[in-house]
Amino acid sequence: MKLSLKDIENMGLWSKLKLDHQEKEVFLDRINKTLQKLEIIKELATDHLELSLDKPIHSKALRDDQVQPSMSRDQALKNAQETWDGMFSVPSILD
Amino acid sequence: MESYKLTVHEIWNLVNKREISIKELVRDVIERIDSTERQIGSFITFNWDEALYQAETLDTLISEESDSSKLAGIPLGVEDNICTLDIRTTSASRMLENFTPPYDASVVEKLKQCHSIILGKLNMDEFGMGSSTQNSAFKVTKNPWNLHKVAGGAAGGGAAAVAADQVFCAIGSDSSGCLRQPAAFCGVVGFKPTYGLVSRFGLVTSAPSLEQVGCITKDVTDCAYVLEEIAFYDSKDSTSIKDDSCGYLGYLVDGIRGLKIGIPREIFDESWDPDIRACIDRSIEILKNLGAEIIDITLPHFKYATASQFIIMCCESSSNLARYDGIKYGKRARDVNDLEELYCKTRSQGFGQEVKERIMLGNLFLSRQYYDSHYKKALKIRELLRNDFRKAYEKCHLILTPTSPILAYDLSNETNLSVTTNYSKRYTLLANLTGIPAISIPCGFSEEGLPVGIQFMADTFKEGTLLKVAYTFERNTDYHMKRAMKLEVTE
Repeated sequence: MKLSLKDIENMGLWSKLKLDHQEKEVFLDRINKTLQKLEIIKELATDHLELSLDKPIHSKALRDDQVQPSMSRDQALKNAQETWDGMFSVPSILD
Repeated sequence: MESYKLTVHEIWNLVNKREISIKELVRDVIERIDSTERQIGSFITFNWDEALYQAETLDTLISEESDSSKLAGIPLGVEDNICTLDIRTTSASRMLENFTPPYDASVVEKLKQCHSIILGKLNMDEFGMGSSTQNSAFKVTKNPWNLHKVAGGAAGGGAAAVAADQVFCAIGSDSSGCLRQPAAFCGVVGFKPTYGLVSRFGLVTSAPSLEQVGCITKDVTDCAYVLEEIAFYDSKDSTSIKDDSCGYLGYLVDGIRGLKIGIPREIFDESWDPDIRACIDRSIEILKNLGAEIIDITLPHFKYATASQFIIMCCESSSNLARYDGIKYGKRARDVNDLEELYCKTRSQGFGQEVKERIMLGNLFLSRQYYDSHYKKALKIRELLRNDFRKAYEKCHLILTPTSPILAYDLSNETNLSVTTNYSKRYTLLANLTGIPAISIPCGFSEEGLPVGIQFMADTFKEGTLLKVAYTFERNTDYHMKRAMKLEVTE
Protein backbone atom coordinates (compact mmCIF):
# COMPACT_ATOMS: atom_id res chain seq x y z
CA MET A 1 0.00 0.00 0.00
CA LYS A 2 1.45 3.33 -1.06
CA LEU A 3 1.60 6.15 1.43
CA SER A 4 0.08 9.56 0.69
CA LEU A 5 1.34 13.03 1.52
CA LYS A 6 -1.13 13.04 4.43
CA ASP A 7 0.52 9.87 5.81
CA ILE A 8 3.92 11.54 5.67
CA GLU A 9 2.49 14.53 7.53
CA ASN A 10 1.19 12.20 10.24
CA MET A 11 4.52 10.39 10.50
CA GLY A 12 6.17 13.79 10.94
CA LEU A 13 3.73 14.59 13.77
CA TRP A 14 4.39 11.27 15.55
CA SER A 15 8.11 11.90 15.22
CA LYS A 16 7.92 15.51 16.45
CA LEU A 17 9.38 16.75 13.19
CA LYS A 18 8.30 19.86 11.36
CA LEU A 19 8.47 19.15 7.63
CA ASP A 20 8.12 21.73 4.89
CA HIS A 21 6.36 20.89 1.65
CA GLN A 22 9.55 20.06 -0.21
CA GLU A 23 10.73 17.71 2.54
CA LYS A 24 7.36 15.97 2.56
CA GLU A 25 7.60 15.36 -1.18
CA VAL A 26 11.15 13.98 -0.85
CA PHE A 27 10.21 11.69 2.04
CA LEU A 28 7.07 10.51 0.26
CA ASP A 29 9.10 9.30 -2.69
CA ARG A 30 11.92 7.77 -0.64
CA ILE A 31 9.72 6.10 1.95
CA ASN A 32 7.40 4.58 -0.65
CA LYS A 33 10.42 3.12 -2.46
CA THR A 34 11.76 1.76 0.83
CA LEU A 35 8.42 0.17 1.71
CA GLN A 36 8.34 -1.46 -1.70
CA LYS A 37 11.77 -2.99 -1.08
CA LEU A 38 10.58 -4.32 2.27
CA GLU A 39 7.66 -6.14 0.62
CA ILE A 40 9.97 -9.15 0.41
CA ILE A 41 9.14 -10.13 4.00
CA LYS A 42 5.53 -10.72 2.95
CA GLU A 43 6.68 -13.83 1.07
CA LEU A 44 7.42 -15.55 4.35
CA ALA A 45 4.58 -16.97 6.44
CA THR A 46 5.32 -16.47 10.14
CA ASP A 47 1.87 -16.32 11.72
CA HIS A 48 2.28 -19.83 13.07
CA LEU A 49 5.49 -18.89 14.90
CA GLU A 50 5.52 -17.82 18.51
CA LEU A 51 7.75 -14.88 19.29
CA SER A 52 10.06 -15.76 22.14
CA LEU A 53 12.17 -12.75 21.46
CA ASP A 54 12.08 -11.19 24.87
CA LYS A 55 14.51 -13.91 25.85
CA PRO A 56 17.96 -12.33 25.51
CA ILE A 57 20.83 -14.04 23.74
CA HIS A 58 22.34 -14.88 27.10
CA SER A 59 20.41 -14.69 30.34
CA LYS A 60 22.07 -12.69 33.04
CA ALA A 61 21.01 -12.33 36.63
CA LEU A 62 20.26 -8.78 37.69
CA ARG A 63 22.83 -7.18 39.96
CA ASP A 64 22.04 -6.38 43.59
CA ASP A 65 20.31 -3.08 44.12
CA GLN A 66 23.03 -1.48 46.18
CA VAL A 67 24.13 2.12 46.30
CA GLN A 68 27.48 2.55 44.58
CA PRO A 69 29.75 5.57 44.37
CA SER A 70 28.69 7.79 41.49
CA MET A 71 29.35 11.12 39.83
CA SER A 72 29.45 14.18 42.06
CA ARG A 73 26.86 16.92 41.64
CA ASP A 74 29.50 19.36 40.41
CA GLN A 75 30.70 16.93 37.78
CA ALA A 76 27.17 16.15 36.63
CA LEU A 77 26.43 19.84 36.22
CA LYS A 78 29.76 20.68 34.63
CA ASN A 79 28.51 20.77 31.07
CA ALA A 80 24.87 21.64 31.68
CA GLN A 81 23.49 24.34 29.39
CA GLU A 82 22.00 26.19 32.37
CA THR A 83 22.08 25.58 36.12
CA TRP A 84 20.19 27.07 39.03
CA ASP A 85 21.10 26.61 42.68
CA GLY A 86 23.02 23.38 42.09
CA MET A 87 20.42 21.90 39.76
CA PHE A 88 19.86 21.54 36.04
CA SER A 89 17.73 24.38 34.75
CA VAL A 90 15.50 23.38 31.83
CA PRO A 91 12.61 25.03 30.01
CA SER A 92 9.17 24.51 31.48
CA ILE A 93 7.65 21.24 30.32
CA LEU A 94 4.11 22.03 31.46
CA ASP A 95 2.24 24.55 29.35
CA MET B 1 61.42 7.86 12.40
CA GLU B 2 58.11 7.09 10.68
CA SER B 3 56.77 5.25 13.73
CA TYR B 4 53.17 5.89 12.65
CA LYS B 5 53.59 3.19 10.00
CA LEU B 6 54.03 0.48 12.63
CA THR B 7 51.45 -1.73 14.32
CA VAL B 8 50.48 -1.80 18.01
CA HIS B 9 52.54 -4.93 18.67
CA GLU B 10 55.58 -3.51 16.86
CA ILE B 11 55.33 -0.30 18.87
CA TRP B 12 54.93 -2.24 22.10
CA ASN B 13 58.18 -4.07 21.40
CA LEU B 14 60.04 -0.85 20.61
CA VAL B 15 58.72 0.89 23.72
CA ASN B 16 59.70 -2.05 25.88
CA LYS B 17 63.21 -2.06 24.46
CA ARG B 18 63.35 1.71 25.02
CA GLU B 19 64.00 2.22 21.31
CA ILE B 20 61.27 4.83 21.10
CA SER B 21 59.69 7.10 23.69
CA ILE B 22 55.94 7.65 23.96
CA LYS B 23 56.56 11.37 23.57
CA GLU B 24 58.35 10.80 20.28
CA LEU B 25 55.62 8.43 19.14
CA VAL B 26 52.77 10.82 19.91
CA ARG B 27 54.58 13.68 18.16
CA ASP B 28 55.15 11.50 15.09
CA VAL B 29 51.52 10.54 14.90
CA ILE B 30 50.23 14.07 15.43
CA GLU B 31 52.49 15.27 12.62
CA ARG B 32 51.10 12.51 10.43
CA ILE B 33 47.52 13.54 11.19
CA ASP B 34 48.37 17.17 10.60
CA SER B 35 49.77 16.44 7.16
CA THR B 36 47.02 14.08 5.97
CA GLU B 37 43.81 15.12 7.71
CA ARG B 38 42.83 17.78 5.18
CA GLN B 39 42.60 15.09 2.52
CA ILE B 40 41.06 12.30 4.56
CA GLY B 41 38.73 13.99 7.07
CA SER B 42 38.80 11.24 9.71
CA PHE B 43 38.44 13.35 12.84
CA ILE B 44 35.66 15.49 14.27
CA THR B 45 37.52 16.60 17.43
CA PHE B 46 41.20 16.51 18.33
CA ASN B 47 42.59 15.86 21.80
CA TRP B 48 46.22 16.71 21.08
CA ASP B 49 47.04 18.87 24.10
CA GLU B 50 45.86 16.20 26.49
CA ALA B 51 47.65 13.50 24.44
CA LEU B 52 50.96 15.38 24.55
CA TYR B 53 50.57 16.05 28.26
CA GLN B 54 49.86 12.36 28.88
CA ALA B 55 52.86 11.33 26.80
CA GLU B 56 55.15 13.48 28.98
CA THR B 57 54.40 11.36 32.04
CA LEU B 58 53.89 7.97 30.44
CA ASP B 59 57.50 7.13 29.60
CA THR B 60 58.46 7.11 33.28
CA LEU B 61 55.28 5.38 34.33
CA ILE B 62 55.56 2.54 31.81
CA SER B 63 59.23 1.91 32.63
CA GLU B 64 58.26 1.57 36.30
CA GLU B 65 55.37 -0.83 35.67
CA SER B 66 56.50 -4.40 35.11
CA ASP B 67 53.17 -5.59 33.72
CA SER B 68 52.02 -2.67 31.65
CA SER B 69 49.14 -3.21 29.23
CA LYS B 70 49.81 -3.97 25.58
CA LEU B 71 47.94 -0.75 24.83
CA ALA B 72 50.02 1.41 27.18
CA GLY B 73 51.16 4.55 25.40
CA ILE B 74 49.40 3.59 22.16
CA PRO B 75 47.79 6.58 20.39
CA LEU B 76 44.30 5.66 19.22
CA GLY B 77 41.03 7.18 18.07
CA VAL B 78 37.54 6.75 19.48
CA GLU B 79 34.43 6.93 17.32
CA ASP B 80 32.37 10.00 18.12
CA ASN B 81 29.41 8.07 19.51
CA ILE B 82 31.37 6.83 22.54
CA CYS B 83 31.31 9.20 25.50
CA THR B 84 34.61 10.73 26.56
CA LEU B 85 34.93 12.83 29.70
CA ASP B 86 35.45 16.49 28.82
CA ILE B 87 35.86 15.71 25.11
CA ARG B 88 32.96 16.69 22.85
CA THR B 89 30.91 13.68 21.70
CA THR B 90 28.61 14.51 18.79
CA SER B 91 27.64 11.23 17.11
CA ALA B 92 28.30 13.32 14.00
CA SER B 93 25.00 15.11 14.57
CA ARG B 94 24.08 18.80 14.92
CA MET B 95 21.83 17.57 17.73
CA LEU B 96 24.87 16.86 19.91
CA GLU B 97 27.21 19.48 18.46
CA ASN B 98 27.58 21.09 21.90
CA PHE B 99 27.51 17.93 24.03
CA THR B 100 30.53 17.30 26.24
CA PRO B 101 29.94 14.27 28.47
CA PRO B 102 30.67 14.55 32.20
CA TYR B 103 31.78 10.89 32.23
CA ASP B 104 33.68 8.27 30.26
CA ALA B 105 32.07 5.27 28.59
CA SER B 106 33.22 2.11 30.39
CA VAL B 107 35.32 1.08 27.41
CA VAL B 108 37.07 4.46 27.45
CA GLU B 109 37.62 4.18 31.19
CA LYS B 110 39.31 0.84 30.52
CA LEU B 111 41.50 2.30 27.77
CA LYS B 112 42.59 5.04 30.17
CA GLN B 113 43.42 2.46 32.84
CA CYS B 114 45.63 0.83 30.20
CA HIS B 115 47.33 4.23 29.66
CA SER B 116 46.23 4.39 26.03
CA ILE B 117 46.34 7.85 24.51
CA ILE B 118 43.15 9.20 22.93
CA LEU B 119 44.13 11.43 20.02
CA GLY B 120 40.61 12.48 19.14
CA LYS B 121 37.09 11.60 18.14
CA LEU B 122 36.49 9.99 14.78
CA ASN B 123 34.00 10.85 12.09
CA MET B 124 31.02 8.65 11.35
CA ASP B 125 27.57 8.66 9.74
CA GLU B 126 25.14 10.59 11.93
CA PHE B 127 24.02 8.32 14.80
CA GLY B 128 25.53 5.41 12.86
CA MET B 129 22.96 5.70 10.07
CA GLY B 130 24.69 5.18 6.76
CA SER B 131 27.28 3.12 4.96
CA SER B 132 29.68 5.72 3.61
CA THR B 133 30.40 8.42 6.25
CA GLN B 134 28.80 10.90 3.88
CA ASN B 135 25.93 11.31 6.35
CA SER B 136 28.06 13.08 8.94
CA ALA B 137 26.77 16.55 9.79
CA PHE B 138 30.35 17.85 9.81
CA LYS B 139 32.44 16.40 7.00
CA VAL B 140 32.86 13.56 4.52
CA THR B 141 35.62 11.04 5.19
CA LYS B 142 37.52 9.90 2.10
CA ASN B 143 39.10 6.55 1.37
CA PRO B 144 42.92 6.73 1.75
CA TRP B 145 43.34 4.24 -1.12
CA ASN B 146 41.46 6.49 -3.51
CA LEU B 147 40.34 9.93 -2.42
CA HIS B 148 37.41 9.86 -4.85
CA LYS B 149 35.90 6.84 -3.12
CA VAL B 150 33.93 6.49 0.11
CA ALA B 151 35.61 5.13 3.22
CA GLY B 152 32.52 3.06 4.07
CA GLY B 153 30.52 3.51 7.22
CA ALA B 154 29.19 4.17 9.65
CA ALA B 155 32.68 4.11 11.23
CA GLY B 156 34.45 5.41 8.11
CA GLY B 157 36.51 7.87 10.16
CA GLY B 158 38.07 5.02 12.16
CA ALA B 159 38.81 2.83 9.15
CA ALA B 160 40.31 5.70 7.15
CA ALA B 161 42.39 6.88 10.13
CA VAL B 162 43.87 3.40 10.66
CA ALA B 163 44.46 2.90 6.92
CA ALA B 164 46.14 6.31 6.62
CA ASP B 165 48.40 5.59 9.64
CA GLN B 166 46.81 8.43 11.62
CA VAL B 167 46.10 6.15 14.57
CA PHE B 168 47.23 2.64 15.50
CA CYS B 169 43.71 1.48 16.19
CA ALA B 170 40.18 2.78 16.47
CA ILE B 171 37.43 1.89 18.91
CA GLY B 172 33.91 2.12 17.52
CA SER B 173 30.55 0.45 17.33
CA ASP B 174 28.94 -1.91 14.85
CA SER B 175 25.17 -2.24 14.31
CA SER B 176 25.09 -3.65 10.78
CA GLY B 177 28.74 -4.02 9.82
CA CYS B 178 29.69 -0.44 10.67
CA LEU B 179 33.24 -1.47 11.61
CA ARG B 180 33.73 -4.39 9.20
CA GLN B 181 32.45 -2.83 5.97
CA PRO B 182 34.63 0.33 6.22
CA ALA B 183 37.54 -1.86 7.33
CA ALA B 184 37.10 -3.88 4.11
CA PHE B 185 36.79 -0.73 1.98
CA CYS B 186 40.00 0.68 3.55
CA GLY B 187 42.08 -2.52 3.66
CA VAL B 188 42.31 -2.97 7.44
CA VAL B 189 40.90 -5.34 10.09
CA GLY B 190 37.40 -4.77 11.52
CA PHE B 191 36.08 -6.74 14.46
CA LYS B 192 32.64 -7.10 16.05
CA PRO B 193 32.63 -9.21 19.23
CA THR B 194 29.76 -11.33 20.59
CA TYR B 195 26.85 -9.19 21.85
CA GLY B 196 27.57 -8.41 25.50
CA LEU B 197 31.30 -9.14 25.47
CA VAL B 198 32.30 -5.46 25.46
CA SER B 199 30.46 -2.91 27.58
CA ARG B 200 28.10 -0.53 25.79
CA PHE B 201 27.75 1.79 28.79
CA GLY B 202 28.39 5.29 27.48
CA LEU B 203 27.75 4.38 23.85
CA VAL B 204 25.30 6.77 22.16
CA THR B 205 23.39 3.99 20.53
CA SER B 206 20.43 4.14 18.20
CA ALA B 207 19.81 0.39 17.81
CA PRO B 208 20.76 -1.24 21.13
CA SER B 209 19.81 -4.83 20.32
CA LEU B 210 22.03 -4.78 17.23
CA GLU B 211 24.97 -2.64 18.27
CA GLN B 212 28.24 -3.81 19.80
CA VAL B 213 31.49 -2.02 20.58
CA GLY B 214 34.50 -3.37 18.67
CA CYS B 215 37.67 -2.22 16.97
CA ILE B 216 39.50 -1.48 13.73
CA THR B 217 43.21 -2.36 13.61
CA LYS B 218 46.08 -2.73 11.15
CA ASP B 219 46.38 -6.48 11.64
CA VAL B 220 44.91 -9.47 13.50
CA THR B 221 47.53 -9.45 16.27
CA ASP B 222 46.59 -5.87 17.11
CA CYS B 223 42.94 -6.90 17.10
CA ALA B 224 43.68 -9.56 19.75
CA TYR B 225 45.68 -7.01 21.77
CA VAL B 226 42.71 -4.62 21.79
CA LEU B 227 40.10 -7.30 22.49
CA GLU B 228 42.17 -8.59 25.40
CA GLU B 229 41.70 -5.21 27.07
CA ILE B 230 38.19 -4.14 26.09
CA ALA B 231 36.38 -7.43 26.79
CA PHE B 232 35.27 -7.34 30.43
CA TYR B 233 32.13 -7.61 32.52
CA ASP B 234 30.57 -4.26 33.35
CA SER B 235 27.83 -3.99 35.96
CA LYS B 236 26.75 -0.67 34.42
CA ASP B 237 25.61 -2.45 31.23
CA SER B 238 22.71 -4.85 31.80
CA THR B 239 23.59 -6.77 28.63
CA SER B 240 27.23 -7.25 29.66
CA ILE B 241 28.29 -10.85 30.21
CA LYS B 242 31.12 -12.60 31.99
CA ASP B 243 33.08 -14.74 29.58
CA ASP B 244 35.80 -16.99 30.88
CA SER B 245 37.20 -17.78 27.46
CA CYS B 246 39.41 -14.68 27.27
CA GLY B 247 43.16 -14.96 26.83
CA TYR B 248 42.81 -14.06 23.18
CA LEU B 249 46.52 -13.73 22.54
CA GLY B 250 46.78 -17.49 22.94
CA TYR B 251 44.77 -17.93 19.76
CA LEU B 252 47.38 -16.18 17.64
CA VAL B 253 48.75 -19.42 16.29
CA ASP B 254 49.37 -20.44 12.72
CA GLY B 255 47.36 -23.62 12.18
CA ILE B 256 43.83 -24.37 11.04
CA ARG B 257 44.18 -27.99 9.94
CA GLY B 258 40.85 -29.79 10.29
CA LEU B 259 38.87 -26.59 10.86
CA LYS B 260 35.53 -26.73 9.04
CA ILE B 261 34.59 -23.53 7.24
CA GLY B 262 31.02 -23.20 5.94
CA ILE B 263 30.16 -21.53 2.64
CA PRO B 264 26.52 -20.36 2.64
CA ARG B 265 24.96 -21.40 -0.66
CA GLU B 266 22.48 -18.48 -0.67
CA ILE B 267 25.29 -15.92 -0.44
CA PHE B 268 27.66 -17.57 -2.90
CA ASP B 269 24.86 -17.78 -5.49
CA GLU B 270 24.48 -13.98 -5.40
CA SER B 271 26.07 -11.56 -7.81
CA TRP B 272 29.23 -9.82 -6.49
CA ASP B 273 31.75 -7.51 -8.05
CA PRO B 274 33.92 -9.81 -10.23
CA ASP B 275 37.13 -8.65 -8.51
CA ILE B 276 35.64 -9.60 -5.15
CA ARG B 277 34.63 -13.01 -6.52
CA ALA B 278 38.21 -13.59 -7.70
CA CYS B 279 39.69 -12.58 -4.33
CA ILE B 280 37.27 -14.79 -2.37
CA ASP B 281 37.85 -17.79 -4.66
CA ARG B 282 41.59 -17.35 -4.22
CA SER B 283 41.20 -17.04 -0.44
CA ILE B 284 39.22 -20.28 -0.29
CA GLU B 285 42.04 -22.05 -2.12
CA ILE B 286 44.55 -20.61 0.37
CA LEU B 287 42.45 -21.83 3.31
CA LYS B 288 42.13 -25.29 1.72
CA ASN B 289 45.89 -25.47 1.24
CA LEU B 290 46.35 -24.54 4.90
CA GLY B 291 44.30 -27.58 5.87
CA ALA B 292 40.82 -26.15 6.39
CA GLU B 293 37.87 -28.18 5.20
CA ILE B 294 35.43 -26.14 3.13
CA ILE B 295 31.83 -27.34 3.30
CA ASP B 296 28.53 -26.16 1.84
CA ILE B 297 25.97 -24.88 4.30
CA THR B 298 22.61 -23.20 3.98
CA LEU B 299 21.05 -20.14 5.62
CA PRO B 300 17.48 -20.47 4.32
CA HIS B 301 16.22 -17.14 5.69
CA PHE B 302 19.18 -15.05 4.52
CA LYS B 303 17.12 -13.28 1.82
CA TYR B 304 14.93 -11.65 4.50
CA ALA B 305 17.80 -10.51 6.72
CA THR B 306 18.44 -7.06 5.23
CA ALA B 307 14.77 -6.07 5.50
CA SER B 308 14.50 -7.47 9.01
CA GLN B 309 17.60 -5.63 10.23
CA PHE B 310 16.42 -2.39 8.65
CA ILE B 311 12.97 -2.56 10.26
CA ILE B 312 14.34 -3.41 13.72
CA MET B 313 16.95 -0.66 13.43
CA CYS B 314 14.33 1.96 12.45
CA CYS B 315 12.01 0.95 15.30
CA GLU B 316 14.74 1.02 17.92
CA SER B 317 16.07 4.32 16.56
CA SER B 318 12.69 6.03 16.66
CA SER B 319 12.40 5.08 20.30
CA ASN B 320 16.01 5.81 21.28
CA LEU B 321 16.23 9.16 19.55
CA ALA B 322 13.02 10.34 21.21
CA ARG B 323 15.25 11.51 24.07
CA TYR B 324 16.49 14.41 21.94
CA ASP B 325 13.72 16.83 22.79
CA GLY B 326 15.61 20.07 23.39
CA ILE B 327 15.04 19.81 27.14
CA LYS B 328 17.62 17.55 28.70
CA TYR B 329 20.79 17.96 26.66
CA GLY B 330 22.04 18.60 23.18
CA LYS B 331 20.57 21.18 20.83
CA ARG B 332 17.78 23.48 22.02
CA ALA B 333 15.93 25.58 19.45
CA ARG B 334 15.42 29.28 20.18
CA ASP B 335 12.43 31.57 19.56
CA VAL B 336 9.64 29.12 20.27
CA ASN B 337 6.16 29.84 21.59
CA ASP B 338 5.27 26.58 23.29
CA LEU B 339 6.59 23.17 24.25
CA GLU B 340 5.39 21.39 21.12
CA GLU B 341 7.17 23.94 18.98
CA LEU B 342 10.35 23.49 21.04
CA TYR B 343 10.31 19.72 20.44
CA CYS B 344 9.57 19.99 16.74
CA LYS B 345 11.92 22.84 15.97
CA THR B 346 14.80 21.31 17.93
CA ARG B 347 14.46 17.92 16.26
CA SER B 348 13.87 19.36 12.78
CA GLN B 349 17.00 21.52 13.05
CA GLY B 350 19.13 18.94 14.86
CA PHE B 351 18.62 15.77 12.80
CA GLY B 352 19.82 15.18 9.26
CA GLN B 353 17.61 13.79 6.50
CA GLU B 354 18.62 10.12 6.85
CA VAL B 355 17.99 10.17 10.60
CA LYS B 356 14.61 11.87 10.18
CA GLU B 357 13.57 9.30 7.62
CA ARG B 358 14.50 6.35 9.82
CA ILE B 359 12.72 7.85 12.84
CA MET B 360 9.57 8.36 10.74
CA LEU B 361 9.77 4.82 9.37
CA GLY B 362 10.33 3.42 12.86
CA ASN B 363 7.23 5.18 14.12
CA LEU B 364 5.30 3.85 11.13
CA PHE B 365 6.40 0.24 11.78
CA LEU B 366 5.44 0.57 15.43
CA SER B 367 1.98 1.92 14.59
CA ARG B 368 -1.05 -0.35 14.92
CA GLN B 369 -1.42 -0.87 11.19
CA TYR B 370 2.19 -1.97 10.58
CA TYR B 371 3.24 -3.50 13.91
CA ASP B 372 2.39 -7.13 13.10
CA SER B 373 3.18 -7.02 9.40
CA HIS B 374 6.57 -5.34 9.83
CA TYR B 375 8.06 -5.04 13.32
CA LYS B 376 6.81 -8.32 14.75
CA LYS B 377 7.61 -10.11 11.53
CA ALA B 378 11.14 -8.72 11.49
CA LEU B 379 11.65 -10.05 15.02
CA LYS B 380 10.41 -13.47 13.95
CA ILE B 381 12.78 -13.45 11.00
CA ARG B 382 15.63 -12.67 13.39
CA GLU B 383 14.68 -15.78 15.37
CA LEU B 384 14.55 -17.89 12.24
CA LEU B 385 17.99 -16.64 11.27
CA ARG B 386 19.38 -17.47 14.69
CA ASN B 387 18.08 -21.01 14.17
CA ASP B 388 19.69 -21.10 10.71
CA PHE B 389 23.04 -20.20 12.25
CA ARG B 390 22.60 -22.64 15.15
CA LYS B 391 22.07 -25.45 12.64
CA ALA B 392 24.99 -24.29 10.50
CA TYR B 393 27.37 -24.36 13.47
CA GLU B 394 26.46 -28.00 14.04
CA LYS B 395 28.24 -28.66 10.73
CA CYS B 396 31.08 -26.13 10.75
CA HIS B 397 33.27 -24.02 13.06
CA LEU B 398 33.13 -20.83 11.02
CA ILE B 399 31.18 -19.26 8.18
CA LEU B 400 32.94 -17.40 5.38
CA THR B 401 31.53 -14.64 3.16
CA PRO B 402 32.91 -11.59 1.39
CA THR B 403 32.63 -8.66 3.80
CA SER B 404 30.72 -6.74 1.15
CA PRO B 405 29.47 -7.69 -2.32
CA ILE B 406 30.72 -4.35 -3.67
CA LEU B 407 33.93 -2.33 -3.60
CA ALA B 408 34.27 1.19 -2.16
CA TYR B 409 32.12 3.32 -4.47
CA ASP B 410 32.42 6.87 -5.77
CA LEU B 411 31.78 9.72 -3.34
CA SER B 412 28.29 11.22 -3.66
CA ASN B 413 27.14 8.16 -5.55
CA GLU B 414 25.08 6.98 -2.61
CA THR B 415 21.68 5.93 -3.81
CA ASN B 416 19.03 8.03 -2.14
CA LEU B 417 17.14 4.98 -1.00
CA SER B 418 18.18 4.17 2.52
CA VAL B 419 17.32 0.48 2.53
CA THR B 420 19.57 -0.19 -0.43
CA THR B 421 22.51 1.53 1.20
CA ASN B 422 22.53 -1.55 3.36
CA TYR B 423 23.23 -3.58 0.21
CA SER B 424 26.93 -3.17 0.91
CA LYS B 425 26.35 -4.59 4.40
CA ARG B 426 23.97 -7.44 3.58
CA TYR B 427 26.52 -10.04 4.74
CA THR B 428 27.85 -8.18 7.76
CA LEU B 429 24.46 -7.37 9.29
CA LEU B 430 23.85 -11.11 9.83
CA ALA B 431 26.19 -11.05 12.83
CA ASN B 432 24.31 -8.10 14.32
CA LEU B 433 20.92 -9.75 13.96
CA THR B 434 22.15 -12.96 15.55
CA GLY B 435 24.59 -11.53 18.13
CA ILE B 436 27.56 -13.60 16.94
CA PRO B 437 31.18 -12.39 16.57
CA ALA B 438 32.65 -11.61 13.15
CA ILE B 439 35.87 -10.29 11.68
CA SER B 440 36.79 -8.72 8.34
CA ILE B 441 40.39 -8.95 7.12
CA PRO B 442 42.03 -7.90 3.85
CA CYS B 443 42.07 -10.64 1.20
CA GLY B 444 43.21 -8.89 -1.96
CA PHE B 445 42.78 -5.92 -4.26
CA SER B 446 40.61 -5.05 -7.23
CA GLU B 447 42.15 -4.28 -10.61
CA GLU B 448 42.00 -0.56 -9.83
CA GLY B 449 43.76 -1.15 -6.51
CA LEU B 450 40.86 -1.02 -4.06
CA PRO B 451 41.03 -3.33 -1.03
CA VAL B 452 38.75 -6.37 -0.71
CA GLY B 453 37.73 -7.87 2.63
CA ILE B 454 36.82 -11.41 3.64
CA GLN B 455 34.50 -12.00 6.59
CA PHE B 456 34.54 -14.90 9.06
CA MET B 457 31.65 -15.40 11.47
CA ALA B 458 31.76 -17.77 14.46
CA ASP B 459 29.27 -18.95 17.07
CA THR B 460 28.82 -16.79 20.20
CA PHE B 461 31.95 -16.50 22.36
CA LYS B 462 34.12 -18.21 19.75
CA GLU B 463 36.26 -15.10 19.25
CA GLY B 464 39.33 -17.29 19.71
CA THR B 465 38.48 -19.43 16.68
CA LEU B 466 37.93 -16.30 14.60
CA LEU B 467 41.29 -14.86 15.63
CA LYS B 468 43.01 -18.15 14.89
CA VAL B 469 41.73 -18.48 11.32
CA ALA B 470 42.23 -14.77 10.62
CA TYR B 471 45.77 -14.88 12.00
CA THR B 472 46.65 -17.99 10.01
CA PHE B 473 45.28 -16.47 6.81
CA GLU B 474 47.18 -13.26 7.45
CA ARG B 475 50.46 -15.08 8.19
CA ASN B 476 50.24 -16.83 4.85
CA THR B 477 49.37 -13.74 2.78
CA ASP B 478 50.70 -10.19 2.63
CA TYR B 479 47.61 -8.10 1.90
CA HIS B 480 47.63 -6.59 5.40
CA MET B 481 51.16 -5.25 4.86
CA LYS B 482 50.20 -3.06 1.93
CA ARG B 483 49.53 0.55 2.75
CA ALA B 484 47.44 3.21 1.10
CA MET B 485 50.18 4.38 -1.27
CA LYS B 486 48.05 6.86 -3.17
CA LEU B 487 47.88 9.13 -0.16
CA GLU B 488 50.02 12.12 -0.86
CA VAL B 489 51.12 14.05 2.16
CA THR B 490 50.45 17.78 1.95
CA GLU B 491 52.59 20.37 3.61
